[in-house]
Amino acid sequence: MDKDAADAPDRSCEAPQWVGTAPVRVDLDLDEALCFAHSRLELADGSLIWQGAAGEHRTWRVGPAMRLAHDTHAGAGTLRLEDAGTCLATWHHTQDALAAVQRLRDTFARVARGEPAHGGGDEGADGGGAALAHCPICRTPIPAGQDDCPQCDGGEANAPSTWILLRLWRFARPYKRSLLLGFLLTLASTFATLVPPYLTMPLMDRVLIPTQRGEPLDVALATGYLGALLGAALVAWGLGYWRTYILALVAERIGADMRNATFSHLLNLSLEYFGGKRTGDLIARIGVETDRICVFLSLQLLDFATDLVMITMTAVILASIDPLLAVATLAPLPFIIWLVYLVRDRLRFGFEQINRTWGEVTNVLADTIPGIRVVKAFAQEAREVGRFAELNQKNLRMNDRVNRVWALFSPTVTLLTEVGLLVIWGFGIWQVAHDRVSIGVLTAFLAYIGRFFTRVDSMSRIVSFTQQAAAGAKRIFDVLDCVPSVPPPHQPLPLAPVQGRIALHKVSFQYGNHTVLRDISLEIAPGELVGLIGHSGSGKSTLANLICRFYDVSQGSISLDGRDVRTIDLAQYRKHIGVVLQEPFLFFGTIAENIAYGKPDASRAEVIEAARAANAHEFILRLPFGYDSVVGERGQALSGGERQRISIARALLTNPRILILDEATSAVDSTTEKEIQKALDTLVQGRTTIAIAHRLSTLRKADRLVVLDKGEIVEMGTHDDLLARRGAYYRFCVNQAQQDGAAAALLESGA
Amino acid sequence: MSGVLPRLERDGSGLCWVDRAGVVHSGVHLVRAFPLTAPDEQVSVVSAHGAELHLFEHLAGLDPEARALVEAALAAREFMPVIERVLSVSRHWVPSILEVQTDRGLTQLALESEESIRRIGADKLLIRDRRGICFVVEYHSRLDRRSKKLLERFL
Ligand SMILES: Nc1ncnc2c1ncn2[C@@H]1O[C@H](COP(=O)(O)OP(=O)(O)O)[C@@H](O)[C@H]1O
Ligand SMILES: [Mg+2]
Repeated sequence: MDKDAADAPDRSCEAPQWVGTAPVRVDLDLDEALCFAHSRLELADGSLIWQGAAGEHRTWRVGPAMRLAHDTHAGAGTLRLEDAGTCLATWHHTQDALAAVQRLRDTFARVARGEPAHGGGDEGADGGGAALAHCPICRTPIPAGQDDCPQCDGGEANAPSTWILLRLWRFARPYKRSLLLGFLLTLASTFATLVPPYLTMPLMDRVLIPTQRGEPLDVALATGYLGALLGAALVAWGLGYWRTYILALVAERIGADMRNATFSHLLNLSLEYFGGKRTGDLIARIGVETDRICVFLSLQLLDFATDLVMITMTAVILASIDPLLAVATLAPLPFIIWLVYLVRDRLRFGFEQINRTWGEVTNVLADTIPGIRVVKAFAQEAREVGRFAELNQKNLRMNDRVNRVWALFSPTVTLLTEVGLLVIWGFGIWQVAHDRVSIGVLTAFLAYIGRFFTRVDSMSRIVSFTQQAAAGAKRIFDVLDCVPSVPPPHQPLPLAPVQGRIALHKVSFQYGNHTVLRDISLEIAPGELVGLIGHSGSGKSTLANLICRFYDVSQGSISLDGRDVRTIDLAQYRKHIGVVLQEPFLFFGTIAENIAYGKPDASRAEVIEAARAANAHEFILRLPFGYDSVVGERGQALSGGERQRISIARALLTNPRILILDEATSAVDSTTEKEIQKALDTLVQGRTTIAIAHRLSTLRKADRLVVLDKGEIVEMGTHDDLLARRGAYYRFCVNQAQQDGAAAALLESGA
Repeated sequence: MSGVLPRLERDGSGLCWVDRAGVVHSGVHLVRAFPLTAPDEQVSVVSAHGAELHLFEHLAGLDPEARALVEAALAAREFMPVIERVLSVSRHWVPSILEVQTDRGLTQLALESEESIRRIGADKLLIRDRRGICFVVEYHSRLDRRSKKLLERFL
């Protein structure tokens, strides 16, 4: 494949104006057949050089009619070298090479045009994109300043394990004093409960047996022992009460802290996270799982600690009374430990499955209830019920599986303890018969052992609870460990009074591996009204999302008044932005509360003023409770246009410098649209506005129109300019003119 | 200062509004913008076609005569019985029928669901009955013990 001779650079011919700088190099990782193979593409000294893995290479001299076309599809990028329309070569690459390929393409375009290879000041923006590291597992770009991948948070490092429960310490730390006190109380109260059996020993040997032999009853001694028994029981009761109360209190607080922390963390995650998560699942995590952990901490862990203390103490006491009997008593313990070990993993796996299914059950609820109108409109009630029942069935199956293991485990432990008791009886009787121990000692032993085995029995149950809590804790830490993909700046500088100049510099953006925006550069002056036009899916909303910083750009930069938005504190930044979306969302609350959402301390007069400006005041007055009327979760009592006007009032009240209208009028009829349009006309005055609309008539006041196609700006200019150009915008207008007469008037006025 | 002082007046059919230019709009009515949270602020004068003609910021700022007129006009349109006492309930769970003593007399309130009771602020309750009538409990904490106890089950 050595075509060097044919394509050899001809240095004598008119060379493009080449400034000798470092070559631009791309390591390609796919071959022509889209198989993984390495090769290299390099642009240097006005030539494009391809080097294959086997050392073969080809060279093309860059000419003015040459073009590098780039396209991405299904995760693979294609680069085509064209000369006056004929394709000279094709290369493929994966996401990893994307940034470099885009740089190559840009440089190539400049070289072909005869400009310097490195345009002034571009390196910073491009370098920012290229410098991003990639996660070794899922290949998502990792934001600067972070070690872990926001997508997959480190893979198997997060495999479920009981040890995850130790991480709950983070929430327990503020309460360590109470916890310590609780633990000491546990020790003390356990000790107190161990006193009574000890007293049975002298009671038997010094009171009962002598009396049986016919000696006179020592009343004082007997009452003394009985009194001590009662006293010990009372002390144990008091200490137990105190301990349980304190620890339950702490556990509730830990649970509440955990819920708060999870929720606040969740809300600070970027839209990207919510895009991939189901509502019901998140609700289940924050609601059910924190509660389960709370119960685990307050009841089960406490019981476990008590059991452990009790067993150790009992073992010590038994050994001190009679070591041989003690050894016989402890015989079943190893078997129980072995059993625990056996079932532990099975249980945890089962509980994780159950939790996940539970999340899915909640998902169906969270899906169906807000979508109830659609469900009913399509008469799909039965199907939804079926879906729910199916998940419930799955839940049952999972539970059955766990219960099968568990049902066997519990009685087995009980059986073992019964056998242990039998052994002691036999061994004890034999010992008493040979006069090695007194009856009192045997009674005490039996009393201890009764307790001991109940404890062992209940302790073994902790396996189930621990695994349940561990599964829950994992799902909580899954949320907490997720780093926002829109990272807050390290040292946010205070924002000077905002003028509202927005500049997009060579902005590209991908959702995963789907490139949505390519190389967008746009300057918007303060107070300018820019209309964004494009087919559905051309990336208009995405552009708006980037300006709101719901997502961060993949390459390039966005700046506000000359400052990169990534250096501005997010909350401060968003205060200056008002957004009106196509689907206005109203929270459960009064209309006044909804309007004042962005500025809760607004006065009533301000609320009314905003509503009036949004053309909503009069319809609000017609509602039975005026501004005090409650709008439901989805504002169902109001029509689409009314909700839209409330959301406009909401955007207006915060008096933002920058306004983003994303198809604010597309979901309503034309009369309502006119009313909303009137509201919007007030809204945009004096603000930098980016308006997205597919009905062109709504953009009649725009200072400038930007036409997007497949993520690229194809045209930009005023209405008249663009019409005169007879390009994409003109075709849009013609299209709409055919659809409605209103745009026809617009066409005439521009022609 | 051209024109006349805008004002509310009574006319044959009800209320009319005389605007700054001296034009008389008849058949107007008054609407409270915040009937629950701030009944005496932001009272709107609305024309027969639903357009707002004027907004009184505070009723307290009006002269006594005008204020009496405004309040009388508002009272004529409002129907929100204030519950003074709860006498009995048919049962302690919804749906239930409450026998109540209101400032407008004795009546039965058919409570359909717990959502029909709405809390406003710390101490005010709004109860909507099956007929759509809104009953108000101005100060929940100041009700007598028996009424409070009967209501408590539904809160
Ligand atoms: N959250 C998302 N995840 C993945 N792809 C998305 C997401 N949002 C939008 N897209 C894709 O990005 C492209 C542009 O979408 P969008 O900006 O919403 O278009 P427009 O607003 O112009 O109709 C579409 O192809 C869409 O499928
Ligand atoms: Mg869109």
